[in-house]
Amino acid sequence: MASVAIERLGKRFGATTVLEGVDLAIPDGAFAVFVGPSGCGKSTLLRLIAGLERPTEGVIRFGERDVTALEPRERDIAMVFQSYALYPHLTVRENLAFGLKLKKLPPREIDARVAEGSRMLGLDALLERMPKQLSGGQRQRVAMGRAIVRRPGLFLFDEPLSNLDAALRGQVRVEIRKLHESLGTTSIYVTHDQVEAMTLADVMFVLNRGRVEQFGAPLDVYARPKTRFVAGFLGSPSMNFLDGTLAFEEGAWSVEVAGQRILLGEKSFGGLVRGRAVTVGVRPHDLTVERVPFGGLALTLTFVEELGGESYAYAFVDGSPFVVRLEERVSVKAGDTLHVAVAADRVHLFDRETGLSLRC
Amino acid sequence: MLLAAVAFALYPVLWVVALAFSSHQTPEPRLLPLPEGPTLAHVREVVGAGRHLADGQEQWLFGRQLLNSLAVSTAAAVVGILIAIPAAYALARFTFVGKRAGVSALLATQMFPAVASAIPLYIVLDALHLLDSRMGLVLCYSTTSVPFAIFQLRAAFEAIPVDLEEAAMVDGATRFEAFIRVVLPAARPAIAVTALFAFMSAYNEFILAATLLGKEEMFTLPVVLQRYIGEHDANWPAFAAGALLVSAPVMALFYWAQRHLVAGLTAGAVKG
Amino acid sequence: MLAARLLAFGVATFALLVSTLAGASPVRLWHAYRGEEQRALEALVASGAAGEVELLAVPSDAFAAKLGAAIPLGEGPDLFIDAHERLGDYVRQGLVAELPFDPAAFAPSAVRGVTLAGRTYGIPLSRKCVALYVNRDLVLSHPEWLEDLASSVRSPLASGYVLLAYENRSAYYHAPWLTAFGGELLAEGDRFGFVGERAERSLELAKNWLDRGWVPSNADGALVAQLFRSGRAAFAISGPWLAGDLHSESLRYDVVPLPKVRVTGLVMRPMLTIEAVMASPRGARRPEALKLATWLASREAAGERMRRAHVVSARTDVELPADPVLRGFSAAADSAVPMPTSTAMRAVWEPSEKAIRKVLNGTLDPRSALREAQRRFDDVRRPPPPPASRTPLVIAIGAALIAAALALVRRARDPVFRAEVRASVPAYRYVIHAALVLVLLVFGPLCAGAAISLTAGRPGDSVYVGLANFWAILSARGGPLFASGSFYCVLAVTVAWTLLNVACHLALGLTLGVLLSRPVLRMKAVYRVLLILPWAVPSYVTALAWKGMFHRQFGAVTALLLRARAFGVDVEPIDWFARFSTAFAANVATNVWLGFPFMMVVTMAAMTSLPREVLEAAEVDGATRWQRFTKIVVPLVRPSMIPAVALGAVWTFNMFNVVFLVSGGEPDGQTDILVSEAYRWAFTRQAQYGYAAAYSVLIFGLLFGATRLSDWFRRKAPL
Repeated sequence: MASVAIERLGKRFGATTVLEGVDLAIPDGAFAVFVGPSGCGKSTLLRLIAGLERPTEGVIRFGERDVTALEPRERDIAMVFQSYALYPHLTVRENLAFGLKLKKLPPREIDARVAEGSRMLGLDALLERMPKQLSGGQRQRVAMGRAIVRRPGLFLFDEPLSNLDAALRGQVRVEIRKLHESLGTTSIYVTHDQVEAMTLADVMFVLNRGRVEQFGAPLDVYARPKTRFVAGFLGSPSMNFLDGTLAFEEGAWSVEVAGQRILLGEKSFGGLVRGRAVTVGVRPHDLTVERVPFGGLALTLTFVEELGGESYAYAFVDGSPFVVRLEERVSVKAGDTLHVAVAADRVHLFDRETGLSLRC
Repeated sequence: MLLAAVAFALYPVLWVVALAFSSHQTPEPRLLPLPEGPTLAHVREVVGAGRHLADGQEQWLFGRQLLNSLAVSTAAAVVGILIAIPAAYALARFTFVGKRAGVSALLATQMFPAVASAIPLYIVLDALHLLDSRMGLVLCYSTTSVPFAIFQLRAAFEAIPVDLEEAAMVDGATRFEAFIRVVLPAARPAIAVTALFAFMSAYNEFILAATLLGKEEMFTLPVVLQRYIGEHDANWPAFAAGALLVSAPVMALFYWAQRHLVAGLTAGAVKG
Repeated sequence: MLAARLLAFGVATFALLVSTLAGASPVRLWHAYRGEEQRALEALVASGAAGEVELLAVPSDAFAAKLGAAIPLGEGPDLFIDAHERLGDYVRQGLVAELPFDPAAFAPSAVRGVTLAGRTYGIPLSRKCVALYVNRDLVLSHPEWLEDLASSVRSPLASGYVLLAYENRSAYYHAPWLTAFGGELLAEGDRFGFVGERAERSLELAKNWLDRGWVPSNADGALVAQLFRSGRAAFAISGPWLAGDLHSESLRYDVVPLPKVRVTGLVMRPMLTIEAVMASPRGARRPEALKLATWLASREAAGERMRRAHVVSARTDVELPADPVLRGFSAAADSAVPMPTSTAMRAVWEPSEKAIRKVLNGTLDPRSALREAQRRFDDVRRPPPPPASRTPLVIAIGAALIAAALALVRRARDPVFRAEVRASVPAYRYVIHAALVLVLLVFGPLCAGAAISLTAGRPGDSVYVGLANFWAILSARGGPLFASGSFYCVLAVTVAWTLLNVACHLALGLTLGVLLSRPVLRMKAVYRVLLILPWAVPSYVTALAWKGMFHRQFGAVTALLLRARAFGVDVEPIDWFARFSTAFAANVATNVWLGFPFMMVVTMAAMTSLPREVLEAAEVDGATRWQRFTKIVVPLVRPSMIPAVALGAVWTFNMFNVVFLVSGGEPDGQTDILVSEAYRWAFTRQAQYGYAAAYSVLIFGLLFGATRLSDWFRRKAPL
């Protein structure tokens, strides 16, 4: 078991900078998730931690140990690959035992560990099969099993669920979390899927353009995004963004957007400067439909999606697309006008230039 | 369509068969290649070939020469593949200074007519004291097969996902262990097929063998076969019978390998 | 790495073995005998009368090359048995040492044969020449005159029978016709003799016999043997080797000297080959080798050889057995003319045979054909270019070395480059042994071979001539640039050959590959193996089978055409190798046969990576089978096929076997490609290795340039 600490980590491939100045710390036994859009550097970061790539600069520590210059095999880690990377010429049993044999464990010990691992993952019936005789889900389990039997100090997962279908993905996600809880090993999990990130993570790192934009407990990050990027990346459908100007009238702050007004309440916080150009962010879930038009937005609907339990209404505000989630079956249709409002503490404000949140 | 193609492929071979089993020196002209006065005499002549020894005994040579051929070709294929495998792996996985130049040079070897290098090769082997030996022949064959083998195997290695090696390295293997224990087994079909090619080209080679070997008990079969063609006349039926005997092991190998052939070449075909 | 270690170990142990075995060794004797002669020699040696002997039977094709490679390095035989006509070459290359003997007991012609510039190089063993075989079942009497052959047969010959079977397209067999008119192939002073009125008349006579249907066209040795053996030739001109074939037959035949020609009254005198035992320089210093040579040529050994192998001895003091065949050949040998030993003789054959073929095919009249032959002879025999100064070479190499060193130094100072080199070290560990072996055994010899292109002359006395060889080739030896046989003409043929072959390989390989990739196909494995067959059988065997199939009178293709005639299609049997188009077609057919399996396998491989859904989607979209093939399959497999096609093109460009074995360049060298042309310069035209090497370098340059160009095009317009 080990904590992971990374300092000023950078990685360049030729002229392209993939990671820059990454600092992060993962406590011992935590389940950390790196999430971000493709190309953000999350997989490279994981490969640096695994030792599959060498950093251009910076230090990686497992506990007190500086592993920056160590080979992967010297780092006491196990990794589950996106492609599973099962050895095609070995049976499931041999796949599981591969790393143990390399460690030259006694055969009895190997058998015991393989038996234990396969029982945990329900692989008992598959042990003598070859990888190509397995379904996608089974292969994924074998890949996990191969990691588990090694009893490493650190688990690494590189988008392990992206090749599974939706139903299976949900199921395996739960299992991974359960496994983590029973084993308690520090884990790092890379995904571009925010649902996986939200549900699995003890601590979540949102990466963008080779940097960590924000980290913390998933719900904190979701509720208090520090940048416009994080705000837009998390949540589905994603947050609505409108450009506006700050105003202070009748003792209350508001944002003016295309002649309409979104109220921010009377409470003042740093960064509130009259006339400042800002971007307002509102999650579709935070909007409520008002019968009386007061302090909110009037929308002319262009399209309505009904999903049964809820509906999404689409409109344009000042040329930007805008989505509203409707809780019950409000009978609206395209062409109707809808008045929506948002609670002042659910309005996110970002500097229009830097994209930084004004609330923190 | 397929039947026509098979007929096209088979017809000349059948002529060789007909000639090999005909009792006459040259078969009568006809459409169907059937042996005339079928006989095994030529086969027996080829198989039974031997020579007189000083003590008046006959020494049987064919078996020995068959063994020579098989041993030399097998060794050449194995050595050639052993030389080619790491080089192909490096070309597939590493970037290094001089890589492009190396690849161009490899390709260039395929373009230079081989006839030009026989005499210099002879001098090199003489310097190594490898003339008149099967070892020298193995060395020549294996090196001539190396460029093609490198191309084939490089493509095969490129087709193997890098993930496999990385998984092995995370699992506790060194790079070399990962290469030996994971990449090589995964590339088995391609390696087998490449080895088959190397084996075949060595097995059928005549000019170098005839030039380099100086003892009858070291001759390989193509050299022996060529002995049935004289300056003024030729023993064609024996030549044909010998050709069939020579081809038999290759055909057997091909039959055994035909399934791998496609799998093994797949990689080769995807990226040259 | 393991391989490298094993290799080093093997080399070391072998070197040890060699050094321990280098002590007293038996006398090494090389020969190219087969059959009875081989057995006779083995028996003689086995009798132990001449000490310990190590015999080696070498394929006759490889004999001279093997001597030339081995003896200069002190390897090879102490003694070897070979025909006297190669002595000129051997002496020049220093492969053979003087071997004095007492000529009294030998036939004067035999002694003359082994004598060069007053010295004897080898002791004559036997004399060989052709004679007239007479089928006693068809012939009443032995005619004294050639013109009487036709009237001496019992009854008019039926169809399928010939009067006189001989290889009329070979200069060796035409030589007796020439001598009957008082001509000779090589005249005094190494001038071309096969020209002038005598030569013309000899050709007219041969052509006349062919036109009358008295002799078979396109006869090779096998056909002559077959015709005579099966009793379908009244007469045949052939050597003792034919008699060896006839032992098992119930044929009644005689062998007599060749007849006289009535118009001149002269005898047809065949060429005489004297087989002699010769000594390498090393062998000449070993008394036991000289003892063996003397003993092999002794009266006792000659008698033994005559009894066992039925060959005419070179000695005159051996009593002839009662064998009539042997007596016939002995008489023939007495009237035969020894083959010239001059190296110029090697330049005679090719032009002479081209002329003979042209006349017999009716493409040229004798006078023009022979004049052309003389021009060719003179062209090949032209003196080598003058030695050039080595200074430009030294300067060029020096400049290149300095430039390379400077570039290296500059790069070595560049920190980025140094970092790259450091990062490359792990990779070098994987490639180092392959690089070493390749440099030593592939690049080294290739470069050495390429360096020969800067020299001229035969091995042993070559001189540095700079780029003269290249200049001669590129200027078509001063002749018209597109004359037949010029570099550009051959290049055009080679390019056409490559394109046509690759196109056919592709068409056939793609079609079959796609067919064999169909998921539902019974006996897929059987089809695959049968279709791969052409690839698996050694090509030098099957190429010869193809040549046989294209024979004008007796080939299977002709039989096929005749069968077609029965169905009302009117086709004449074609003389495939008389015209460029048909000879080229025959070559292409053979090479397509040899090469399509490779493309087929590559296609099958490419097809496995082709998703089936795509084809199904096209089918749903209403594409026909043909449209699916051209619009979906071909574009999708194309990227994976390109490397294979490129490699196939390179191989075809250098496909020596097929051209050499099937058409042999006929007619008139028109179907030769660059590689076979290079081969001819090296091996049939006076061993001009420098010139041949220049060809090789040009071939390499062309191919390298072509691949570079196509790479460049592909990068500019990605497919």
